[in-house]
Amino acid sequence: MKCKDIEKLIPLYARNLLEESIKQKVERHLENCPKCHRLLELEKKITEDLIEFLDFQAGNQKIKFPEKRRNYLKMAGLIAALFIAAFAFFFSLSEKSGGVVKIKEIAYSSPQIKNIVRIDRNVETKVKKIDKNIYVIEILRR
Amino acid sequence: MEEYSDLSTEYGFNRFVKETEKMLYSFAYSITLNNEDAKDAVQEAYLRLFKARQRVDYRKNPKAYVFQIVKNVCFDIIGKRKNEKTIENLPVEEKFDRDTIIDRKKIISSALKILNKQERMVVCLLIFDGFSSKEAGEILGLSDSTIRNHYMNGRNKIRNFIVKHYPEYARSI
Repeated sequence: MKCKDIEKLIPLYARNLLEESIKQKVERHLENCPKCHRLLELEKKITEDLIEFLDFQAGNQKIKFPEKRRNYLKMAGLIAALFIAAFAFFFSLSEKSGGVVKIKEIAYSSPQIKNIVRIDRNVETKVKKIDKNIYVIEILRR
Repeated sequence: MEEYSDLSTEYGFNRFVKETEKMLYSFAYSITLNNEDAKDAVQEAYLRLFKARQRVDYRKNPKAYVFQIVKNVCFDIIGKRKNEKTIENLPVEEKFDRDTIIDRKKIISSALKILNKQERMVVCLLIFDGFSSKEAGEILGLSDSTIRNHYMNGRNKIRNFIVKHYPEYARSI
């Protein structure tokens, strides 16, 4: 085999994916050809760098389970703030009426319309931020 | 390969995630070439696996199964995105910096972009030694010989690209 043929087979040789008979031919050539041997060294170096690169990409990411959607991650802060605001609102309501309101669930009805918030599946509210930590909650439907 | 027969338990599942997430993420990245998309795909894949954990026989090969899921999720993401052209056939930058300091990550990143999706996936699955060429074929639905071909072509493209555009990288070894 010529150098050109060997060059092509170097990746398979380095990954041990060649048939035994071809592998032996490549091996014999590499022993006697410094040029091809250098390419094998380069191939190994590239493998190391590929692994390092992909590891680096993966290492930079914090994959959380079972967080479902990116939207939730992005809005986590806002949701927390809204929850407090909504809770305060209902607390003030319950004080006036004398009853106790318990909020079981608070969720966005749509990721697009960010200021529309559903509480306990049946109360739909519109939240408007008027100042730092101050929100106006308008009940649209209940 | 490890046995994951206890995948139905919370401990077993978490251990499985811990052991596979880095490689799974790398694989997702090799398809999307985008960190955010890769992250989304991996999360979605584990979620699907978690939901289906009682139904599927994972003892067979749960690792291959989750890689199949992530592949499908990545293809969905790419399909939905309008600017797909920016990923496939991405034009390689004309200017190559001849910096004295070799930025290996940058070189590898540009080299990966010249491969097609199939080649990138195969290269990624095989460089980590986690899968045999037969298993990689199972995940991608390709024959063993096609896998070897993609690997050979992909790796040769990368090496030739580096020799041509970054001779200082090749010299540095």
